[in-house]
Amino acid sequence: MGVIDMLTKGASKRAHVLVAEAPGAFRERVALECAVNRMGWCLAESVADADVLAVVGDPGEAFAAKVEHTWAQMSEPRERIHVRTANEAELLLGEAREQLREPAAHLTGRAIRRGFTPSASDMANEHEDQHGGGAQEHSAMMPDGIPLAEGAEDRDGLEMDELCLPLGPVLAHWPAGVVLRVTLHGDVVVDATVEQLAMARARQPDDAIERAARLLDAAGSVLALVGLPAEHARAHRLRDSCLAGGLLGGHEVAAFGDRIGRLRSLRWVLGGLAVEDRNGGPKQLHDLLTGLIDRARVELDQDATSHVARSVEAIPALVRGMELAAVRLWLAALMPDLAMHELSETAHD
Amino acid sequence: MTDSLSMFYALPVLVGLAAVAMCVAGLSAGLEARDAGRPLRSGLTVPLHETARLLRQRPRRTVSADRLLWRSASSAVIPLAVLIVAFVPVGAHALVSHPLGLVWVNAFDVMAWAVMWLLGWGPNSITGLVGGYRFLALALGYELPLMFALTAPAIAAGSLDLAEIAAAQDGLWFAVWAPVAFVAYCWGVLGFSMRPPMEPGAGTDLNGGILAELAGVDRLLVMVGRHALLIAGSAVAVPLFLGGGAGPVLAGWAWVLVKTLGVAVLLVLVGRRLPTLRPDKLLELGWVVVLPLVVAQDLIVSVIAIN
Repeated sequence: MGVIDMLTKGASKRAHVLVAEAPGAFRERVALECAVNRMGWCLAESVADADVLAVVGDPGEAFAAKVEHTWAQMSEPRERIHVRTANEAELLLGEAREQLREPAAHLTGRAIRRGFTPSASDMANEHEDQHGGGAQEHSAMMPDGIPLAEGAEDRDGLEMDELCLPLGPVLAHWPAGVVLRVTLHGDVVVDATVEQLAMARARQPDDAIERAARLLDAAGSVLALVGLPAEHARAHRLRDSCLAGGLLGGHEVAAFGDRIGRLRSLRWVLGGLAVEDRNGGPKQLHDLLTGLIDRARVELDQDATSHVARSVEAIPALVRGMELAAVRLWLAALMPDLAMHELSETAHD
Repeated sequence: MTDSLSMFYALPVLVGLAAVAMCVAGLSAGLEARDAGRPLRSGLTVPLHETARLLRQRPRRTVSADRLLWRSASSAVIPLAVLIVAFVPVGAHALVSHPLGLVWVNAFDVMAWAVMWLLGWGPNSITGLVGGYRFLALALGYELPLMFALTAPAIAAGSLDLAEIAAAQDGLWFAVWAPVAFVAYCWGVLGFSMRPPMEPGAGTDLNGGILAELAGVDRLLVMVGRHALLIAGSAVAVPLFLGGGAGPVLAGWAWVLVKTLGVAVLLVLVGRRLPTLRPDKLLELGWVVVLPLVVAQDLIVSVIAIN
């Protein structure tokens, strides 16, 4: 049993944590990420990669259903924790580590667990919603209960298969509680519908510190999606020290912003990713990224002006025609806007 | 034509490949740990912990997956790297010595196209499919410059045998007077091993792309395979551009090991600082900038070789 013990101890030193952030749980998620980092663990990049599922905040009913769906797809050994307050993150992660160190006697069986299988009626219903009831004639050809893709004309006039993909809500670098159902031709989005899952508890109004932390968090997410892990880590360290109250004034954030602005390779790679601004001109993603860091500095310097935030309903029009990678980048960059808009909505209720 | 080593030497070559791969993986993880604010040392043992974690994880199947092709692809990444390393002359001889060694090495790295795409196609998942196609789009961008870069040392040495190319560099390395070919070759190595910045097929924005649905031993084989391909590519760069096992004091095989480690570490360090290259940007760069430069480099090398 010595080898298995060694494997178990080694495995528990490096578990991957998948974060399911319920809407309105920003501070708790940041606390969880700090705790994961301190333990030497890391965040999972997909469900298959995860050992621990961490639900953060108070999930509503719809969100809890999605979390169950995700839990069913994880491979054993798996643990599940629920972080409600920022202080208990480290404790719960420690408990999960102890659970992972348990001898894996129950894993030696050959039983295959069915995580999730789409039933024929579910898939047919979803297909009907998308196409207004035209999918019945294909019900005979449904291998494993999944109907074959329908064809549709794409932007060049060729017939491409259409795929429906729901993005979120349990997704890294994604606004909390947003479910974006996209229709894809290949990897280009032709249509999208968005849904914002409701917050289960009322959120306190945020202050400048929290707004600055959200902006730095969004900048870090964009940097991670672009493939610059060192800069992403730097942005997250700034975010953590900002929330802990360690940043006096915006000097460090300004220095970080200069650093990002000087990266010519980043500017070149992000070139061409533009959307239409409210005024009608093109808005570059690189400018949005440096704008996020600049707004964080302005918040910390305490001379913030009011900013008109984009709402969730604007997303489908925004992403039409983009490819999947660009959709992820734009939604990560718009995270603080969506959160602010949601907050102002609930404040007016 | 030089003789092959006996198959008895296969084990030390495999051990060498594994050791260098582990060092480089440890270095990557150590740098990640340092970015996160932890000491560099804490990251060096991460590859061992990850191996233990993946060995414990149960394998996963997706609905209507093409299991045969998926599993063959995930098992084929490491053998591909081993086959590439088999042609590298360690000291005076290689495990497999062949007059067309360079062509074989290129053939194996082109086989990576099939393997990576099948990894994406096998699980019947949208993230995998998009990742696989992104890899193919990327491969269209780096493969031609890579092939032209491989012809530069062949022209300069007048042979396609790796050992003879290494021997023809007495004194001056090809990397010094054919630098564009060296850079284009390194770029190609980062491409077929899917390492940053050439990893849109396995990128974070796709939940890991071709890696998204892999769990357990399959995931371990592919992750180890990516590192092994990086080391194999670096090992081939040694006889092609860095003079093979020649050098003072140490034995031939030790120099090959040191030079391989040096190239691999350089690729890791440089790759980390660049953002992930999107396929459309990379095609633009590869065909408009790099390919003409490499062809011009081949012309210069030919002119020098004739004189």
